[in-house]
This record gives sequence, structure tokens and C-alpha cells, in this order.
Amino acid sequence: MDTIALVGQGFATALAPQNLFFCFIGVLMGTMIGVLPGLGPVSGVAILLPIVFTLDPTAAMIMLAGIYYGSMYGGSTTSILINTPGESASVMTCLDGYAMARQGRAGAALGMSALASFIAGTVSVLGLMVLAPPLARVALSFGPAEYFALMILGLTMLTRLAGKSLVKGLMMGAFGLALGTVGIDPITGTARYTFGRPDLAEGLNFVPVAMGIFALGEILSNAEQSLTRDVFKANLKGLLPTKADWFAVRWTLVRATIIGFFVGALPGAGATVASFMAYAAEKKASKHPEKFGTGVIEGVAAPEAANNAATGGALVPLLTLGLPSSATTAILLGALLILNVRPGPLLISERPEFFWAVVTSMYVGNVMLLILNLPLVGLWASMLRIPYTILLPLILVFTLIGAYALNGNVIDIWIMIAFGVIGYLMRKFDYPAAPLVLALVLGPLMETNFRRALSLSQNDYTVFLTHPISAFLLACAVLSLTWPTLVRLVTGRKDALPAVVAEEI
Amino acid sequence: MDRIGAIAMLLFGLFWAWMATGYAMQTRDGNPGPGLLPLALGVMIVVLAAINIARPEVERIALPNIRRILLILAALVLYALLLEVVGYVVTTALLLGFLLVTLADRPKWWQPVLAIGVSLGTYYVFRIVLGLPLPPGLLEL
Repeated sequence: MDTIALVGQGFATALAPQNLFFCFIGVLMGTMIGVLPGLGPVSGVAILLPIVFTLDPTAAMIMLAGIYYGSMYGGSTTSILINTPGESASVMTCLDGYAMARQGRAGAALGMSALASFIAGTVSVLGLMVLAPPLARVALSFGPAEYFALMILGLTMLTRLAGKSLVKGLMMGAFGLALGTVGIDPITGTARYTFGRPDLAEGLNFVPVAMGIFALGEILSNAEQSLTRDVFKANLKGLLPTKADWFAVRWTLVRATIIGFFVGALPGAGATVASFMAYAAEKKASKHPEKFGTGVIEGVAAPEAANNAATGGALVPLLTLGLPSSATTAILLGALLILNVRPGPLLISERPEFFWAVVTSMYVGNVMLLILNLPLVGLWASMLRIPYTILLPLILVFTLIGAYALNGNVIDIWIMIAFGVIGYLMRKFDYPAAPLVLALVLGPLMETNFRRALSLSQNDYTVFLTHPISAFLLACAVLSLTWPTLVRLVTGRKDALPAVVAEEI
Repeated sequence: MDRIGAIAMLLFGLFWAWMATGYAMQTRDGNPGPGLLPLALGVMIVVLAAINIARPEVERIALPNIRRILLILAALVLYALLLEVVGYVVTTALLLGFLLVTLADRPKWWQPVLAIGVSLGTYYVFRIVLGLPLPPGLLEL
């Protein structure tokens, strides 16, 4: 079918009342999740997953995507108003955003962040539309060896970028892979690590694990500190940025969107890294770099545009290769698998209605978000005044509902509690969580591909090196692990990438 | 302090590898068996943990407010134990009420009201409207 016709059909599906409704719910929840400190897109998507399974796959994915990019809009509200990032991709927005608020320009900051997010988000969906089909065609020639190598690359890149300590990142990756082996082995039927419990036969459901590590772990960490916050009483008049502001950011938006899109697509990087890099690039390109941090509008536009562009970029490898590039997209992948949609090169050709409906719904979602975020920003600001002493128990209840509702089995709550403790300890001991979640989702797929590749090659282990694509990908994987060491050896400088990336990419 | 975490991981790795040896390393056709990957992973974790023990990275680990955390955890464990016995509405109302009261500075009248209200409301929305499984327990709703 002609692509234009497919896009048109996609729009028709996306605009169907049911899908519109779920898109709206998704972006609304996403904004709320982004606004509420202590709840980020990773935990938010994880908590809402169980509800999603009762819906039809297209509506479900539309909603999940809406939550994902919606949270990028909401996170900036708290950054600007209370100097607390609603989620990690909004950290950079705090710098100039809060400074602008203190100068009485909170409205312009909020307005610019919503508009920049909209422009970047829309452009990135365009990028997704343009790049996904050809990439899928290339990937059609991938066999199990290539997939295995690709997943290894994704895992190593994520591990490398996930935190200061490579050793701990690798440990978490191995831990995640190990947890993925729990359950009945699909190839031989042997029960592994089930300790005789039939509930574990299907393996550890990654949803309570993810909810435990991210949502519950976050809650427990937050519970350590004082539970009060001061909200800045902002003057929210003058929501629209001035002509001078627009003039100042004209190239910012271009730069940040491009950086955001490509960084978002890279395995191991995501919206957070994208926002950092866009801010740094903007500062370097600016004629007045010393002013960054004092309330420069470009300092708000760049990270906000980048984190939204990254969501479109991240969906490219997810939908065309089945390769998640961050913790949040790993959870989206898990959700798609449970919904029986297999992301990969065949997705576009076998289920074009699904693919194009989801992609076109992102345009619709971005429009909805613009409407939600500009006039309603006062509403979100007042949400921030709800004391965390009330929010914490409420969020906790929702995580419990989510965990139980998956299978109607209390064991999922136990798993969530156990991983909540593990997640809390991981935060204390500085073990990165993203490699763990990615490995847990990819692990079973990796193992299947590995063993399938070997059985096709009659147990010839060199098959991974004799296939050119696979060899190339594995080489990249090794390089991604050793790159900083090589750089350090050559230049004698330490790696300059900030280590804040850790949790919610 | 970091060593404690590493030692925990080391023990986990050893346990994992030990259990893996109980599974077949090769299938009848000579392909990799179910035990191979878990064994490799267990060994890898042991090695990495040992490296971390030799070169710890984090010095001091603070544990402020551990009381509050243990309180929340205890409440959650009780919740899991009681949920299917007494039913969703009662258990959730108890949990919410307990948390709202203990986290706040002092008990207020609206806390139990909110607890009961949210429990009933969410039960209605999630079980009756969306059809998700939530245990009715004693209430037969």
C-alpha cells in the first residue's frame, strides 16, 4: 500500500473516538506524572501497565506513548516553579527555568518550554515517519545472530552510560539477565530457579519488578528525606514568550531537536542524556555562554526541545528493531510483548495499521499537550501544593493495585515489595537500575536468539563473527565498553559525561 | 561500606552459579543447555563483585530516617498478608489510614475519611468499571 494512504489510514484510526480518548488519558496522566516529583515516566508507565492490558493493543500503545512524551512536558513545570525536576530529563531546565521564575518570568519560561516541546515533539514524529520504514527494510535481513549482537550492543551502551561505575553497571546487567532465566526454559522445558512454585513457571513478570525498583524504590528513597517542599508562588501572567525570546531561540530549537532525536535513538542514551547534551551544545554555540544559568531563555528551550525530540527518536529502534534504548522504552517493549505485538522490522509490513495509528497519534497527542500545558499550567502548579505526606500513600496504593491487578496473584505484590527493597538499596549503594531492567526484558530474547543462532550454525560459535553485521555490532559493543579507557589513555583526560543519568532515562 | 553491597552480590552470584550446575549444560543435540547461561552469569557476577570488593567506590552510606522506611515496609508486608483474606477495600483503607496518620505531624479528621473514600472509589473504578481483579474479601461487593 502506498505510504501516504497508510498515513491517512493511520490518522483515521488515531482520530477514532476510542483512541482519541485513550490518547487524551495518556497525555493527561503523563503530564501529571511529569509534574509530580517522586514519580517519573519509568515508574508512571510501570504503574499504569496493568490497566493497559485490558485494552486493545493499538489503544494501549497510544496511551503508553502518550504517557511517555507527556511526562516530558510535565516535568518542566516543577523545574521552573520549585527548582525540583519532575523527572530526570528536566534537570537542566531547573537551571535557567527557576532563575527566570525568580525574575518574574515564570510564565514565559513555562510557555517556551511547552512550545519548544511541541515543536520538537512534532518534528521528531516526522523523523520517525521518515526513518522507520527504510530502517525496517534493512533490518529484515537480520537473523538470530544479528539480533543477538544488536541486543548485546544495546545492553553494553546502556551499561556504559548508566552511571559512574562500569563494574556496578555490568553487575546489574548480569543480574538482570540472570533474573530473566527464572522460569521454564522454552527450548528444553527445564524449570530454572522456580523452587517448585508454579507461579514462577512463567518467570519473573517484569512489571512488578520494574514497579518495585522504580516506583517503590523511589518512594522509599523519598521517605528518607523531609517530606515538605516550598512551592514558588509564581506570577503566571504573560504566558507567551516575547518576540525577542523567539528570536533568541530560533537556532536553539533546530539544534536541540536534532540532537534530541538522534541521541534518543541511540541505545543507552535517552531523553535525559539528550537534554544534557543539548544544553551543553547550546551553551557552547551561544554568544553569551556566561549568562547560562542566570535565566536565559535558550537554557529552557534547549533541554525541553531535546527531551521531547528524544521520545520520537527512541521509538525508531523500538518499533523497527525491537531494541529499547532506555529504561522507559524497555518497559514499553515489555508491554508490547505482553500485548502480543512483536516490534521489529516485520511490524511495519505485517501490522501497518498498528504502526501508523500509533505514529499519527503522537501528532494528535502533542497538540493535546500543548493545549493542556499552556492554559492549564495554573492547575498543575496547584497540584504541586498537595503535601507529599498525602501523595506518598496514594501513589503507594496505586502501585499495589497495579501489581495485584496483573494476574490477581498476591505473589506479584511480594515481588514488588522485594524489588522495592532491592531498588532502595541499589540507590543507596549507587547501583544503576537501567541496565537491570533492560537486561530483564531483553534477556530471554537474547538467550533464545543465541541458542537459535548456534543451532542453525551446527554449534559453530564463530558464527557471530563470520556474519559481517553481527561482527560489526559486537565490535561496537566492545568499543562502547572500552572507549573511555582508550580516550583516557590517549589524552590523559577523564571522561566528561555527567553521571546524573542513572535512574530514569 | 560499599563492600557490603559487593559481598551481597558475590553471595548471590555464588548461589546462582551453584544452582545452575544442577541444570543440563548441553542438550541432547549438543546445543547449549539451560544451565549454560545461568552458570556464566553467576560466575560473571562473582568476578565483578570481587573486583568491587578489591576496589570499593562509595565511602559512606547514610541511613537517615530508617524508622520511617521500616514502618512503610512493615505496612506493606501486612497488606500483602491480609489482602486476600480480608479483601481489597478493608485492607487498603487500613493501609492508607495508617500511612496518612503516621506520615503527618498529627492525626486529622480527614485522614480516615480520605482513606475510606479512596479505597471505595478505586475499588469501584478498577474492579467494577474496568473489570480488574481486586479481591472482594469480606464485603461481597
